[in-house]
Amino acid sequence: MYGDYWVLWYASSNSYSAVDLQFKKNLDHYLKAESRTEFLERLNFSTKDSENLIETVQLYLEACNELNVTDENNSVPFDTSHRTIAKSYSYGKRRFQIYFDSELVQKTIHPSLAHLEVPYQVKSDVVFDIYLKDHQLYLFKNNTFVCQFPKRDYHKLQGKFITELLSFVHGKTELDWIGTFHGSTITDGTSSILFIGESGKGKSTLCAILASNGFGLVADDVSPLSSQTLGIHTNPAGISIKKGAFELLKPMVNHFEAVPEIHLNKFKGIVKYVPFEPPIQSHFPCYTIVLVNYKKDSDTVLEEITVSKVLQTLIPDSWLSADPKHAEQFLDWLKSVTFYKLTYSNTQSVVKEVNTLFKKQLPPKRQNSKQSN
Amino acid sequence: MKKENNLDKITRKEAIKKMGKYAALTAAGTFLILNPLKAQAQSTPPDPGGGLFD
Repeated sequence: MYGDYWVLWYASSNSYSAVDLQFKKNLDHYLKAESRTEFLERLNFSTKDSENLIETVQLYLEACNELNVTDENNSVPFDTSHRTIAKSYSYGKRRFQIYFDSELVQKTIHPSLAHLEVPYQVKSDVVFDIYLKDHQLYLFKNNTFVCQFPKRDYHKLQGKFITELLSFVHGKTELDWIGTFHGSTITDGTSSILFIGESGKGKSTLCAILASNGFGLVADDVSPLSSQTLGIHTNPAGISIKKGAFELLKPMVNHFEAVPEIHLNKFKGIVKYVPFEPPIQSHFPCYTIVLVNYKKDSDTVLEEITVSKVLQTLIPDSWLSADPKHAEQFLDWLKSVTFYKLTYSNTQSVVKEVNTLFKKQLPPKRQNSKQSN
Repeated sequence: MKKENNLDKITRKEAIKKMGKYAALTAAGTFLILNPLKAQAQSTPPDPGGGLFD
């Protein structure tokens, strides 16, 4: 239970549900009742309302238990003839190499990692191949097929690639992650704060501001939570900054003008992938999630919000493991987290507010109530 | 929040689908059903055509 809400997880669909106390009570009555009559007897409703209630609960349960069908990719044989461009990278002690078949395909991955490129061929621990063939994008790791997607779904290939890369740089496998959150994470060197929000709400810009004002960048856009450490691990990619924020960040970020501009697509336009020095630790505990809301000329306002509000933004844009152990860990982790909404426009004021928030961060709250479903 | 009190005017399948999309405030109480992404993804491009390869 989280504040006034229960959060339930349904294994068959890997879906999460936030319900209020009244709905939870009705649901419990429904699940415990041996018959329709017994359920109706427990309710103090008119007959018509009772019928509606039964219908609602039944539909709810059907919706929550719709089977989770994942798209399985059939393995495809590896084809070396697409190795047109070779890039070598270094992150800490890890070395990796990527082959691309064209400049266009290179644009899907390389710009966010350009700061890690080394100008010489290194002995790599892992080699990725990414190429386009018959309108399909393919990803291979060490000559083994990983996935393929239609070219218009290139963001899925990017997501799969970054998960493979995160697993490699942190010495893990995909099965070791509880999830990869769509959000950016910042640290004060001890703990971390996860910033979430819809695209265009200013979370990456805010993280660039914070990373230029004494905080460390843990991850931008994809923040992975580990099952072993229960911390958010570093993501080596640079922060994706849209052109609209260039003027704001230019005086703040070292060598901002030297970072190349990348023309992504019609909607996103021109972006820069701004690199920051990685923090010393590879992962940090996270006790706070902040829903970011940039609003022109607004005051800086930080307000506590409900788990329901946060999950509405967090879950649909994140990948969460369907493993029951991971789902339980995710729900347990949520219990230790406090949720806020941050409205901001002023740089100095927002840095001060986040500084205060880090100081307020508490070790995990332990609650006795626990729900599994 | 969206009211879900008129389910008999749509098919059962549509009703179930609708349940998964909205926070519903009903006589039974308030609930919300959320599905995570089935595959990892970076920021979803809001233009459905993708853009980069068109």
